[in-house]
Amino acid sequence: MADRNSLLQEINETSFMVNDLTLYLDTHPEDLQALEAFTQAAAQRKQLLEAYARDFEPLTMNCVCPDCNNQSQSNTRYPGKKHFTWCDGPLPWDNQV
Amino acid sequence: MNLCGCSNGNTGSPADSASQAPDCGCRYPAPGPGLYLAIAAIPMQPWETPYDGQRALKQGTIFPSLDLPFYLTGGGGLHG
Repeated sequence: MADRNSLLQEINETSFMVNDLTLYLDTHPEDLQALEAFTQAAAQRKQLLEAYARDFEPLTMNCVCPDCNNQSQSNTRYPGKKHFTWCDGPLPWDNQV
Repeated sequence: MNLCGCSNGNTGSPADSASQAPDCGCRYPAPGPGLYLAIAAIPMQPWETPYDGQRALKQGTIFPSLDLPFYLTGGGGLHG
């Protein structure tokens, strides 16, 4: 199981790549190299988000899966019980974890 | 003419701005000696090999040619 903060850092970095590539593709929609880089970065981001949701908590609504989220049972008020995992995890501004 | 459109005819120098009407702060410099309006011409950005994720986030861009010294220091990942 990956470390929470290093996985979050990877998600931040990949999300930034996807965002900057989006800005470039806005003005260069037919740039094949940029499209390739975007496809890779977007796929990697999706994979990282799913891994984070599986190990810890969902960061985006489409990653919410009560049966498969938060297998580390960390930062949850409902350990061992099926629940809406959207409310798991530290608050975004609480980085004392 | 002042960029903020007020009627004061000052040249934007600190001495003038101190003496004009209280309601107009004239914060914007006025065109005048050494300060002219311009037209920006921006070439189409070419594709280039982007930085890797870690460096891109730290520098604030994935494109090396846009990585310019804006004299902001610090920044970086979740833990700097």
